[in-house]
Order: sequence, then structure tokens, then C-alpha cells
Amino acid sequence: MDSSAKLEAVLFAHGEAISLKKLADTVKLNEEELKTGLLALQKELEESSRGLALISEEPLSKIFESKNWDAKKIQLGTKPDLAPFLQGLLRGEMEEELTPANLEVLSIVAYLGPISRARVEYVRGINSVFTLRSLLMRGLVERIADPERGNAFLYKPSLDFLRHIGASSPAELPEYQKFQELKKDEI
Amino acid sequence: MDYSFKVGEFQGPLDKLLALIEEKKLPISEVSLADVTEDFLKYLDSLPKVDFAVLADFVAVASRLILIKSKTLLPSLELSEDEESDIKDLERRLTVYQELKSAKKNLEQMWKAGKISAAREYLAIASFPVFSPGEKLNQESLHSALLKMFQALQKFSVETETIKDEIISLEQKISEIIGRITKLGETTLRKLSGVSKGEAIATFLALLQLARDQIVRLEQSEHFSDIFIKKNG
Repeated sequence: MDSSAKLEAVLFAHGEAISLKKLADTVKLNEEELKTGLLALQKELEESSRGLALISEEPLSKIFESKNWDAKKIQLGTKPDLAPFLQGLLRGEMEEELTPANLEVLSIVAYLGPISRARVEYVRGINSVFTLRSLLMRGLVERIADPERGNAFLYKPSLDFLRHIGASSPAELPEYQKFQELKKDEI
Repeated sequence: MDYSFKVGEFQGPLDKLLALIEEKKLPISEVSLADVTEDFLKYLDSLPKVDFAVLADFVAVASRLILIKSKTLLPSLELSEDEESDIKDLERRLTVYQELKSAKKNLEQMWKAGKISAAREYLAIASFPVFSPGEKLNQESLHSALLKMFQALQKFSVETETIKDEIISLEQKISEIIGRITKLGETTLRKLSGVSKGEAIATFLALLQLARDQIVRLEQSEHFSDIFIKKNG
């Protein structure tokens, strides 16, 4: 059996986002096999005959480059373009509104994240504690410990949020690269 | 609570400042910032009651604007290195903030497009009972568990046995007393009562019954003294 088939089965059965480490342990694959298997699965899913897609915190082709790749999460979801056919099932989810403040903070976190609260406030020029908290509670952003500062947190978009806007990773956001450059230069 | 919401259509000082500059179709520069300083201060003045934290953020930006304005009004004014970098910082942030507008638009469009990728719940296939008996479930463990419970119960039943005394029936006691009294004519409670507490109680109850039926007469000279029993009539 192909490792991509095993990976698909585990992702399907698990449902929720799963860390690459847990995925590798479950399927009993090493890093290299996991990488090849996932990329093969992704390629297959991209065929127009398939209705599912892989959603991950970073593009699969790059995810193994990061130091803590095994903590990154991945999930099997339906293809965003098929959403109209699921409309009846997803009605509740589609009616959620975003306030202007929510939208602003969310776009900063999505395009510039992982980002600290201090940075979000610097970019917006205004206290953002309440907005970040409300986004956290709605499951739109996630908080992780800052690897460089033990007592601080970084905010990043959640996989649920990425699925909601039909992006398979933040890199799929329009103009993403431009803002990443901006992040390097300006803030 | 979302305080930034209370500032009306604007979300913060940068938002307002950018709006003012864009209104005048100016580029982001020191000169334009000096140009809109007055409008910004007017707006600050007109702000409805907002949270202090929000107000502080506005005042922070206002103070930098005033610094910029003073510099254009008084060219001779020498600014410190910190002040100069503060001004540059405000310009830079405003530029970033302006860039972010397209990010916001992108997100908003995607949000509204409703192209949701649906996913499954955690272990959705296992939402029915999953048979998972655990390693320790076998005949021996069941047997020994039941045995332990049985032993524990047994301890209780042994204890009940120790407090179980011979059962004395009241009727039996009554006929016994009548027998004694008919034979002896009179007797006392102490003579009738046996050794056990239970027997004494039974005897006493039997006597009360007999006294009520007026078969015997009871006499006691003082508290706690022996009770004399005589046959009535």
C-alpha cells in the first residue's frame, strides 16, 4: 500500500487537524517518507476528479524546511471551490460577520504572522488586546509561545480560519509574498 | 468588549490619520503630516467618550504630529535624534498601514466569497461506541473482583451475627409471668428478670401489658426500687 494512501486514511479518520509528528508516528513513516507521501497525496488531490484538499499551516513544499516542522498541523478538507455544493450543510458557518477591527487584526495576523501582540498594536497604532482575544475565542487565530521570548506569545491564523476562507495555507493569500517582504523590511 | 469599535468608523489613530491624508490626496510625507495636524487635533477634540487606552493611542500620535508641525513652522527648531526617528517611525507605520488596506480587502473578499473548505470532526468515524475493553479484562480479574466484594460483604454479615440475641416473644413472657404469679401469689420484677437486658425489657413490657389488662397489680415504693407484682383479685 502506498504511503499516500495510508496518510489519506489517517487524515480522513482523524478529521481534525493533526500534527505532522502524530501523523508520522501513526503511519510509521520517517521524515523523508512522510514528505514524499504527503506531496504525492497533494498532487493526486489536485486532480479535478477529487473533491478534497490538504490544508496546512505552511505550504507543504516548504513545511519541512522549518525547524519545528513536526509540530505543524495538517488537515483534510473539501476543496474550497466545491463550497456551493455544501451550502445547505454549512449555512451556520457562512453567516458569521467580521467587525472592521476584527478584519484588520485578522489580516495583520494572517499576512504578517506569527506576530506578537506588541507588533499588531504597533502596526495598528492602537491597543488590540480585546480584538485579539475575541479572535482567539472565535477560533480564528491561534496563540503559540514565542520561541525567542519564553514569556511572550505569537499569534497566527488558525487552520479553521484558513479553511473558512478557502486557503490551503497562508501563502495562498493574494499578495502574500509582498507582505512578507514588508514584514522583513518595515516591522 | 471591543473598544476600537466605539471610535465610530475609525479603528485607531493611524486609520484616521491615513483617511485625512488620503482625503487631501497627499502622499505620505512629513509635509502632508504637518498639513493634516490641525484636522487630526480637531477630530481628537470631537472624539466621544472613549476608553483611556484608546485615547492614549490617539494622543501619542497627536504629540508626534504637533512635533512635525512645530518643525515646519519653526525651521530653526533643532530636533533630537530620538524625535527625528519618532517622525520617521510614524511615516513608516503609516506606509505599512496603507499597504495593509489591500490585505484587508483581500481577506474580506475571501471571507465573503464563502468558499469554505469543510472538514470532519475529531475521529468522526468513531462517534459510535468503540469496543475497547482494555488489557485487564479477563475471567480471572472478574472473578477476583467479585470475590473481593463478597469478602467485604461477609465481614458485615459476621458482625450482624454477633449482635443477634435470642428472640424473646412477649406472649411467651406473659404466660410465663402468669404461671409464676399463680404459683407464688406475688413476686418482684427483679426476681422475674433474667440475666440479659433483652429479657428484662421483655419482662417489663409483659408486666405493663398485664397491668393494663388488670391481671396484675404493680407497686413501687420509691424511684428505682424493685417493683412488687401481685395477682389481681
